[in-house]
Amino acid sequence: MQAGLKEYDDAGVHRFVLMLIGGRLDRQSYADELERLAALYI
Amino acid sequence: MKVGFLCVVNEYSADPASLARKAEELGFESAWVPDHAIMPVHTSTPLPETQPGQGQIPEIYSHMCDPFVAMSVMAAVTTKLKLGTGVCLVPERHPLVTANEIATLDAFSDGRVLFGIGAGWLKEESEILGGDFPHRWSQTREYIQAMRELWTKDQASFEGKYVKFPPVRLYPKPASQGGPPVLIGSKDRNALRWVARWGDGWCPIFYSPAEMRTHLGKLREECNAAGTDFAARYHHIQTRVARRPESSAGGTERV
Repeated sequence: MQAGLKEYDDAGVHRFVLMLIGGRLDRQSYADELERLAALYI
Repeated sequence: MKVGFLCVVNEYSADPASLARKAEELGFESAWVPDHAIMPVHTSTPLPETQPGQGQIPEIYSHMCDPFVAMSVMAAVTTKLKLGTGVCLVPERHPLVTANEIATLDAFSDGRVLFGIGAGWLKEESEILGGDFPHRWSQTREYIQAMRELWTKDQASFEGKYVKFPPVRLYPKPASQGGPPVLIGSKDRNALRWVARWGDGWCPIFYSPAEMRTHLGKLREECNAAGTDFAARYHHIQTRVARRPESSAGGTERV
């Protein structure tokens, strides 16, 4: 687990939801963007 | 730690089926869809600090699909991905119809619904859609009570200030016992009391780890005072955090 998430985990947070509200999951780039986020956070 | 993502699904985004398939394949635990059925053209309500946009309501708020339709599409192409409303503006929807939508989706998805709820921050939107804006959290609480009656009883009736109905039947029932978890999305000073008394979890926005730690201590106290089970709510404690694309190494930040 990466450091930023571990801080939340230690605080008692059980779920972490990334807010992607800037239109970054468009038809052309959604797969790459989700892969990038998964590599960072999962 | 379970990791999910919230995204606006609209005519410009990837379709919800493609998003959900890819998210499940990559190991995301949940996908969350926000709710703004309409956006008034003329508003005077100040944008709260929790919303992005530097004081102006961003154009994207006028381009939000119906969350239950999007979640249904997502459910149809996945088997594990949980499906959340982030958040459903409860006073702005008819509670009996919402109860049926939620129950149906939870039944068809085998209990994968996470019912994130809010009361709305935009007065003009709320009033157009039937919200009693000054008392919208009281209205929300009552609507949730009514929904739980409908989800758990063969014949449910309700007598409240905002919703009244004689015995009615509503099927299918949710797959989740008692209905899907109701996660209160609020930073109101009373929010933790609500979570302790009638919520199943808490999903505030933009809190740091230190803030969450402090608030969870208060939630434990509220649960003790209310005689409810903190541990039962503990599994649905979450926060939503915005992430800038240029952020590296998984750093999170508040906006």
